[in-house]
Amino acid sequence: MMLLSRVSMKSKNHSLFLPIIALFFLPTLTHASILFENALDNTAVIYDGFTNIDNNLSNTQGFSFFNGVSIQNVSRVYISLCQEAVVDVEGYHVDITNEEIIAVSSGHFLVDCSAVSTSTPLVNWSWFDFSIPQTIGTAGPVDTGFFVDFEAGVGSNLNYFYFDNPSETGLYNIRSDDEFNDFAHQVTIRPAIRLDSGISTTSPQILQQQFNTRFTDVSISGSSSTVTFDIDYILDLSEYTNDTRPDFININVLADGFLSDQQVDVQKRLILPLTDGANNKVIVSNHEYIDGNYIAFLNFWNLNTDNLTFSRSNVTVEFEISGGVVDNFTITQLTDGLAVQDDTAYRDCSFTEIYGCFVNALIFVFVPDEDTFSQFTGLYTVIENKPPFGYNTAVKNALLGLNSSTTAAFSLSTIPFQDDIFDPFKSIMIIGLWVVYALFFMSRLDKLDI
Amino acid sequence: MIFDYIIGIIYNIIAFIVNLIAVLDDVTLPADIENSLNSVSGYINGITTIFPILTLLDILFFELLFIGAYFFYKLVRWTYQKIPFIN
Repeated sequence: MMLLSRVSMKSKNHSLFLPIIALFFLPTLTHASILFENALDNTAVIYDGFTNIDNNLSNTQGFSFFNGVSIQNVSRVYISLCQEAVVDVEGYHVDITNEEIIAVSSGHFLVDCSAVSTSTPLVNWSWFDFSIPQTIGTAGPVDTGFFVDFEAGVGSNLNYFYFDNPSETGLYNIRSDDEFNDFAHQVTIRPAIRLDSGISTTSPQILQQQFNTRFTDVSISGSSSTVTFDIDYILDLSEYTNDTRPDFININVLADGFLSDQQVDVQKRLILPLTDGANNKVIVSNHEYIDGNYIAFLNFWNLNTDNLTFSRSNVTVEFEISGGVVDNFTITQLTDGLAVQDDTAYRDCSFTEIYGCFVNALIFVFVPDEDTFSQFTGLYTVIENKPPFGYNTAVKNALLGLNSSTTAAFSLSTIPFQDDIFDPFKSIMIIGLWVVYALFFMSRLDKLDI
Repeated sequence: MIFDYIIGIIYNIIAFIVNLIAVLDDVTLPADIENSLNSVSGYINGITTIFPILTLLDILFFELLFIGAYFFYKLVRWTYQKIPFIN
């Protein structure tokens, strides 16, 4: 919901922007750093004195670019946190001159800074992608700001923060309100503005939607130095129009399993068969290990800016694991951040949205609460051991006990032709038994007195 | 809200019956039956290499499940027919 609500904020709302801009002047600064990558020589420069990131989304922090600098397609923001945490990140790119949001991006990331290094700044860093339409950068005033917001356990441990634009060949110049002229690049350390409150959207229905979750399982086992496997995954975008389609899809992969070497290289990409014939959309990925479990966060972005026209796609998430021994690696959860329409969710109700008031009234009257049904779940537990239901429970448990791994009372010696004769014959017997029982069952259904 | 009240009434009726049944003692199988089943289990594991006896158990389990469900259906139907003016 939050993700899509951010996405829906592309529209203008000047009247609400001005009060919110007052948050510019609510300094909550503590010591931290900015690491800024020079796009020309790909070296990183650490900027001290960046604002702190507090532990909620109420104080967005960021920096801005001064007027006249051509910043197009700011595509990736890197962050580093000296603690292991899952964080929600929101990014806003704002045209300050015209007081409007150009682009919004958000994501869910697992971060730490176990291998922070200025020489290899990408190791174990987290990032999220953030796109700006090309036309904005070329046509309009580009006194723009980029602001990020963090949530969930980040605290004040954000140490590094920089952005990267692979397609940009010019030198980035960053304005500093505090005149940090002693660095090669000027940097802004002012608190950023928070833009999400009260901004109207052209797609308010998105706010009524909630996330959908889908699951799939993939299991590989054995030992190998390189394993490649694909996950076929249905991605349903048929519910979306061009206006409501999300800017990017967040696919979270949660995997149980053991990778003997935690430094293994895991390549991931999302293959989208598109109607225009293109596929193999390489995705941005991030991964981490927690207690031997592998967690990946895959972001496929620019769905809108790429002007895609697919509706329902069979997505393949492709993994290639190399550099370590893979043993029993199982994808236990694969979810996406797509929204689905929830018809039972309350709508906005106001004078201009009177329709929502009627819908809300009907929902209030006729849609039962989930708790109403959940109260039934514990009823059977109370009587499952009481007569007459207890007889069923006792017999069921006794029969299940027959399947348990009780030590065999005897063991047969090796049977000749076991694999060639007896195993196939046993398979035939299993099929035969079920077929005979099915016929018996059907004849009995025919005679059943209902 | 309306459905909440309707479902709440149904829940309270069922909960009342359940609480009456809950007063009864727990059902336990006689110890001899449990011992015999444990003994059988050891032989089943030995013979399963050449005969799919676990399949037979699955079928038996499914059959008992069906019988139990049918019995429960008859019980509910019998109770339902005891309501006045319902045949």
